[in-house]
Amino acid sequence: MDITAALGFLWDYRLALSVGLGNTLHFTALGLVFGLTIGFVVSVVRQAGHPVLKVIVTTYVEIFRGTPVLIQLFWFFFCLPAILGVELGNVFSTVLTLSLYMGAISSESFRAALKAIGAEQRDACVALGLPARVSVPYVILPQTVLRAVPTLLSNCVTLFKESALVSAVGMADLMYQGQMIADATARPIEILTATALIYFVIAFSVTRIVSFYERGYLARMRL
Amino acid sequence: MSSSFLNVQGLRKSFGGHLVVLDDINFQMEAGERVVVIGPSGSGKSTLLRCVMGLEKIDHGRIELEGVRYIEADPKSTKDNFVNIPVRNKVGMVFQHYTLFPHLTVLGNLILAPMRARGESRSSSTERAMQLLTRLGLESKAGAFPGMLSGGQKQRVAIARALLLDPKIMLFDEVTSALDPELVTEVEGLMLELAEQKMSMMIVTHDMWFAKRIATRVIFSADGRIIEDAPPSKMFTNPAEPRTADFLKKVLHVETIS
Amino acid sequence: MGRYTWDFSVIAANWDPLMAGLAVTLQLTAICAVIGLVGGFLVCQMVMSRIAPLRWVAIGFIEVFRCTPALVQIIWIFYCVPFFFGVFYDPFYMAILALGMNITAFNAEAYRAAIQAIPSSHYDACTALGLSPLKKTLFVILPQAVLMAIPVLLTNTIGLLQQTSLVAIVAIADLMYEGKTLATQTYRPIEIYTTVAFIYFALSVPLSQVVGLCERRLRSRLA
Ligand SMILES: Nc1ncnc2c1ncn2[C@@H]1O[C@H](COP(=O)(O)OP(=O)(O)O)[C@@H](O)[C@H]1O
Ligand SMILES: [Mg+2]
Repeated sequence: MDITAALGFLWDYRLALSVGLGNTLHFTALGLVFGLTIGFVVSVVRQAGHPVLKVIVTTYVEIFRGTPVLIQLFWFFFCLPAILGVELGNVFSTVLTLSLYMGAISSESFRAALKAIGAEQRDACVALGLPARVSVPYVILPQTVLRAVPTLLSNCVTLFKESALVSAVGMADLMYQGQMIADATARPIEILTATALIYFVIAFSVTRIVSFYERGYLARMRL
Repeated sequence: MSSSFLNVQGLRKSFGGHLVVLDDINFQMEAGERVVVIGPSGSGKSTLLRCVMGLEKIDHGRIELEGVRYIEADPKSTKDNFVNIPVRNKVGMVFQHYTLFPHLTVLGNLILAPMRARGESRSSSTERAMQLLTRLGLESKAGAFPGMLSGGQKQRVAIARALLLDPKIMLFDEVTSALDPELVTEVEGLMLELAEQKMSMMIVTHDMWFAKRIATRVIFSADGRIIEDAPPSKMFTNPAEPRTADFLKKVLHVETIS
Repeated sequence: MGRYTWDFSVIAANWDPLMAGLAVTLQLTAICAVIGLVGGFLVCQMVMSRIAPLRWVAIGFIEVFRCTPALVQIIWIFYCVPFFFGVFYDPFYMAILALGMNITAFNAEAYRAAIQAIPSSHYDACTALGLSPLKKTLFVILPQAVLMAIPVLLTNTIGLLQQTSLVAIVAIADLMYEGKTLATQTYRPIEIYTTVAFIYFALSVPLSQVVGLCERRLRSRLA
């Protein structure tokens, strides 16, 4: 295969690909913000909430971890609007699905981190006379976040990769654009390889940050 | 009775309702006393200290400090104990495993409670913390994270953290048990210094020689009860109870220490 | 809020195609799970090999498959393998190839993490007992590694079950595909998609219960 020809061909479609990448990043970012918020709240409820609430959020987490993201997307695109009898909008359905999925997987990461803060740390808070309004924001939360960061970043990579599924419901993300161009030009190798490479570079960079953080920061603090 | 400095009345503590760890403990101590608690492993020494600190929900009894009741069980209900938090905050405790906050520096560990829970200004609490650290020879470690310190340094920081809150009484639960032998003396040295300043203390230790040096009173506990309560000179040379003598023989491999 | 009348008789009427789709899903999952268990261990051995090129190939393989979306992998293989090799294999085999390599990469990481978690004192003990390197690997390292890796391997397999739904996008008649087809044919997407989601969920839940059980047993065994 002629590399320069391939690159020239890709260069012609740079705009379409960057639009796709922009949408991928946009959906992922919104999913991250809402998902992480949901995840933290859910983990706190599962640790200390009302029993009925606990059952509800646990069921939510199990459902979203126990079904394919693809069916979740289809459900929020084609079923929920009909059940509610309202138009939800494609972007709304997309972001809703990704957020709920991210909320479910990140709540497990938060939960593991909360659990890992031993009873001893809580004892120390009592012995120092720290009321909850001090111990939660200054002792429990920072340690939870510091500990949860590696798995949360992995969750982010997972969400970023799963976001490719929105192409299946016609959202013009990177995957969708790549496939469209591949179909239209009948030159799938260049374009699909380039698409894969873009996903790879972003996801791989984040995983490097994770291991750098684990080896550097966490190891130094012996958390 | 309630004129005592620390007064534990009818304390009963069980785990899961059936495992009775402390059974009707009655115990008084005066200000400036240093009470060392000894006894077999699992006899409830840690639990006793944790009850005095208010870390355990007790089944029965009450605990007073300077004549003020600060923990009391309500035997008729399963609700939480009555706790007078301002009085409880006059008790300080140091644990076997340091329990420093790993995400805060040494200085951050020291000033967290004064600043955030007691409303002291940052500058004033920092100044007091640095004075204390300097006294302990740890001023160069103020900016270090606990993970970078030796065990002995960590434990001295943990003691400093408790001292900065001006406790009326300090509880030490096997604070040297996790340390390498050569680091034990720096921590025991600090505790002896506190003894000279007439700090009231309750100490659980397995080190009988240290117990003999620091104690004004020694308590031998077993099976959830106080078996013997005597000054160290009597306890270690001529214990009244056969069980105490048995225990001391086992841990010391000699009849008495002199 | 709109009032939607649920009508699950459509499920009974289309039971056979749904079950046929489920059979394909289960076949795909089972075959790829076996490939992943064996392949993952082999790739993990390559990663730990003393021969540098073997190591590089294995690490590259793992990173590529872990850092790109599974959908991209499937589409890439579907479009590009025929181009490169000039043959068009049965789509089912292409799907096995894509999903099998994907889970192999994830399982290789699981094995590696488990082997690295074995304390170095065990290696010292083997040397002290005079065990040969082969015996050491076979009787001390391997059993522990597999035991420790079981929870993650099972979790990966649950993930695989859900990932198989992606093959619907390339028109392999699995459960997801049958659901999609029926949803458009019958105009009852809500009942169909909800049922399909429930089937995936019902398959995942027992598996994740087993994971929880394994983790608890392992923890008490190795404590
Ligand atoms: N949180 C707990 N739950 C159940 N049992 C406990 C708990 N803490 C301590 N125990 C039990 O209480 C008894 C006394 O423990 P402890 O006070 O730690 O003894 P010591 O410090 O004298 O060795 C032991 O039998 C121990 O197993
Ligand atoms: Mg103890």
